[in-house]
Amino acid sequence: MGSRDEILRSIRRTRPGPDDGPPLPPLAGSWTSPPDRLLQFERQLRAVGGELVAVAPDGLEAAVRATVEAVAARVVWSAHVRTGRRDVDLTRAPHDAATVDFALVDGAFGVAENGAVWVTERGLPHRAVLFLAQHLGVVVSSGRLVDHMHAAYAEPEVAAVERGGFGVFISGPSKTADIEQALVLGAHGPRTLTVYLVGE
Amino acid sequence: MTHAERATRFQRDPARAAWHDRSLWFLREKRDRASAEVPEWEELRARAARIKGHVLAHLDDHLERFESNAVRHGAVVHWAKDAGELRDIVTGVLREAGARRVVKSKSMLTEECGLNPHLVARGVEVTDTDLGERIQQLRGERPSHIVMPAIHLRKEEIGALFEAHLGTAPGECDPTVLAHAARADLRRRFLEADAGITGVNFGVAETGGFVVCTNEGNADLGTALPPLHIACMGIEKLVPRAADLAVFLRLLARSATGQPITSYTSHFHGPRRGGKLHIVLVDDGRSALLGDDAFRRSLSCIRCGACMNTCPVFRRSGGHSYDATVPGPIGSILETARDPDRHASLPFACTACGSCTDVCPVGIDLHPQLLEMRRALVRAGRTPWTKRLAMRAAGRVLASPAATALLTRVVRALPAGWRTRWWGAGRAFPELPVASFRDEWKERHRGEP
Amino acid sequence: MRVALFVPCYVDQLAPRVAHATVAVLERLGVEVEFPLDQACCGQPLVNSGHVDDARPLAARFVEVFRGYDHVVAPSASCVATVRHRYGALGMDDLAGGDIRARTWELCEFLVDVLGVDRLPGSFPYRVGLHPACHGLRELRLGASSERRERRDDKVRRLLGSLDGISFVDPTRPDECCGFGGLFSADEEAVSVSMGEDRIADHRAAGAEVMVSTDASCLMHVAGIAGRAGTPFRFLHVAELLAGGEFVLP
Repeated sequence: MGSRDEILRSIRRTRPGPDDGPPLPPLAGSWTSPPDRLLQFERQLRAVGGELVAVAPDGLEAAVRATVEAVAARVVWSAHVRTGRRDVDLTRAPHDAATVDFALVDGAFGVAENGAVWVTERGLPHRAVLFLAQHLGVVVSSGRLVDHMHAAYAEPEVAAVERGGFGVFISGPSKTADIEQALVLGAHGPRTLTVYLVGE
Repeated sequence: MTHAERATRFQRDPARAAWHDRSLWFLREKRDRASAEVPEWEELRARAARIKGHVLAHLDDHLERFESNAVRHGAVVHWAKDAGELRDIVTGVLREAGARRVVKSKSMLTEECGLNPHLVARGVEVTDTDLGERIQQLRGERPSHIVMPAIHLRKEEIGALFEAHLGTAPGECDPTVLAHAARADLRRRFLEADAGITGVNFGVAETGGFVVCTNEGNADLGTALPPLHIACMGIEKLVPRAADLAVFLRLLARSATGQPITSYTSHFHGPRRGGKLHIVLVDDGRSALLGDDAFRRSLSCIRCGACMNTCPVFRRSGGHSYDATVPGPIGSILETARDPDRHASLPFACTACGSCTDVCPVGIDLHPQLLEMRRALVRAGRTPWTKRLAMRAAGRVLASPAATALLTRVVRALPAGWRTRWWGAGRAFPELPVASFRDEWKERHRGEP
Repeated sequence: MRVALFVPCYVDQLAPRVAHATVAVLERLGVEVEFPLDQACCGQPLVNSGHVDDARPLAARFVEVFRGYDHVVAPSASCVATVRHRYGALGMDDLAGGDIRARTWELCEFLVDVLGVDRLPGSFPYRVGLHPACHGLRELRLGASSERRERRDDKVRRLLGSLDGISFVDPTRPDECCGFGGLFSADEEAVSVSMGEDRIADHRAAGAEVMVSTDASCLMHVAGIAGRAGTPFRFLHVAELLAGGEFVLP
C-alpha cells in the first residue's frame, strides 16, 4: 500500500467523526470598514515602507519619470509599452530581469487595511521582474480600492488566478528585521515600492 | 539535558538574558498594537479556530480535493508518511531534474525532517534564503525562533559572521549594511539555482492552490527563477475555501511580527510557465496526533510564533533551551507528542500563566494542553520516579490537616541552610507564623458546637 | 445562605493573616462564615504537575467537605481555578458533579458577583502595584488580560479602587507572570527568580509602595526574592486591604 493510502487510512481512523467538530462558518461577517478608504490605504502603505503617488490619468507618465530620476534608474522596464520604456527584452529568460533598475507593472486593486496591491502575471512576460527589479512601481486605479482582505478575495482578478496561475499581494518593498529587529527596506527584492493611484 | 538545565545556562549571562527578554517582548508589543487596530480581532480568532476544527474533522476529504485540484493545475503531488520519506522524495525529484544547487525559503517542516543535512550529504548545495535562517546556516546552528531565527544574536555577532563568510568589513555591524551584503550574495544564488524549495503557509482545498508568505520575497525569487519548485506541506496546513484565507491572513502577520500583512503573500496554482511544480504532503506523526482528543487542536497551529513571544519562560530561556525544531508553548506540545522521551521536560518549562492561550490566533488551548501533556508523561512513567514518589507522599500529607501541620512544624525546626537549599537560593524563606489559621479559628470558636 | 471558607494549605500555615482578613471582609458585609475543619488541600500542586491520580482523593474530599454549602469562598484565585477548570477535566469529570464548580468563588468575585458589592469603606492612601495573579486573570477572568481585545470589568480593581486615597501605578507589563508557577519555582529556579525580580523592578520603577495580589503564593514568591535581595517593598493580599484595618507602611 502506498503512502498516500496509508496516510488517508490513518486519517480516517483517527479524525473525529465527520459529524463531530464545528460546522464550517459562513464566509460573511460584519467586518470593520475604514471611514476613509483612500486615507487608510495611504496610511497603511506608508507604514509598510511604500510610497503613494496620486495622479490623474494623464499625469502617470510624468510621475513615473520622476520616480525613475529619483532612484537614478538606468534600465527601465514598463508593462505599458506605448507610454513607457522597455530597455531590456524580458521575453527570453526570467533571469534577465536582474538588470532592471525600475519596473512598472499593473496592479488589479489595492487593500486599505494593509496597503497591499494584488498583482498577477497578466501582461508580464515573467513574474520574476516583480522581485528582481531594484525598484518597483505598481499602477492601480483609485476606484479599485477595497476595505479589507475579505473583500479582496471577492475580486474577479483573485478568482482568475484561482483558476490557474500566480498572484501576489505586495505590501511595500522587500524587507527584513532579522538583525536585532532593525527594519531594513530592500532585503532580497525591490528596495522601494511606489503605488501610482490613478484617478478615474 | 533538560530545559531547566539549558535555561539555567542561559540565565548565567543575566544582561544578555534580559536583552533577549526585551527583544521578544518588543514583538509581543508590536502584536498588541497591530491587533488593537482590528476591532473584530476576537471574532477572527474564533472563526479561525472553527475553520481549522472543521478541516481536522474532514481532513481526508480536504486533502483529496486539494490533491485533485493541484494536479488539475499541473502540479505533481507526492505523499510522505514520515521524515525519511520526505527526504527521499525531495532527493529523488532533485536527482531526476539534475538539480545540484537549491535555494530554500523558510520551512519548519523541512527542518523537522532534517532535509538540509540529507541533501548536503548527497552533494546538493542548499542555501537557506530567509535572512535569519541564512545567518543560522552560516553559524551551523538551528534557528532559535520559528519566525525570527536569529533573534538571539547581537548585530556584532552577525557582523563577525558576515566578515568571515561574506567579506564584510571588520567591525561592521550596521544592520542595513549587513542585510545588503546578504542581499548581494543571495541574489547571485537565486540566479544560479536549479531548484527552489519552499514551505506552505496555507493549502486551499477548494482550488488546489497554496500560499507562501514572506517579507524578503525569497520564496518568490527562489521559485520564479529556477525551473523546479518543490513545495513541502504538512497535511494539517489546509483551509477549505479560498475566501477563508482572508481570516488567516488578517491574523498571521499581526500575530507574528505586528505587521498588517507580510510584504509578499504569494498564491501558486500550478507550475510557472516553462517550469515544474512538485508538492509533497507530509504526515510525520500528524495523523496520529489527530486521533488524540487532548492534543488534536494543536494541529491548528499556523506557525506564527506569538506564543513564543508572549511566553515569559521562552523569553528568559531562549529557543535553544527547548532543543526542538519548534520551541515554546506550541513546540512543548507538538514536539513532546512526537518524541516524549527526548522532550519530557518541555511541558514543565511553564507556569501555566495562560498568556499563550490568549494570544494564539487560532484559539488553541495551549496551557490546558500543556497540563494534559504533563499528565500523559506522568502516566507513561516519563518523569523522574523521585518526583512521582514525592508527589504521592505529598498527596497523602496534604490530605490530612494534622499531617500538614506536622510537616510545617518539622520545616520550622530545620536548620536555615536546609530550608534555603529546598526553597532556593534566590528567595528568602517566609517568616513562619506562630499559629496556623485553623489553630486560631479553633481557639476563637472553642466551646461552640 | 451558608457560606464556607476554604483556606489553602499554604495560607493556613504560612500566611494565616490572609485568611483572617478574608473572614473580616465577609463578616463586615454581614456574611456568617463557617470553616469546616475537615477541609484539606484542593489538590492544585498535584493536578498542575500531572499527578492527577494522586490528586483525585484530595479533589473528592473537597467536593465532600463542601457539599452542603451554598457558596465556598477562598482567598486564592489559583485554588478556585483548579476547582472550576481542572476538576472537570484531566479525567476527573465525575467529581464535577454536585455543581461544586458553580459554588466556589475567589473572594473578589464573590463580593461583586454574588453579594453585589463593589465598594467597601476604608482607606489605603498608598500607591499600589496591583499584580493580577495569572489564574485569577486568565482562568477566572477577574479582569481583562492585556492579550485580548475585549472590554471586561476588573473586579479586583473596582473593589480596591473604592478605598480612600488609593492609587494604582502602571507597570510596563501589567500582567506578566510573577514566575511562581507552583513546582516551577523549584524545577526552573533560575527563570522563576528572574521573572519575580522583573515583576518587583517593574512595579517599583512605576512608583509602587506596595504590591497587592489575589494570590498569596505569588506574594510569597516575590516577597522571598525581595527579601533575599534586601529590597524594601511590602506585599499585601487584597483581603488585607479590604478588611478595613489600619495600615502604616514603612
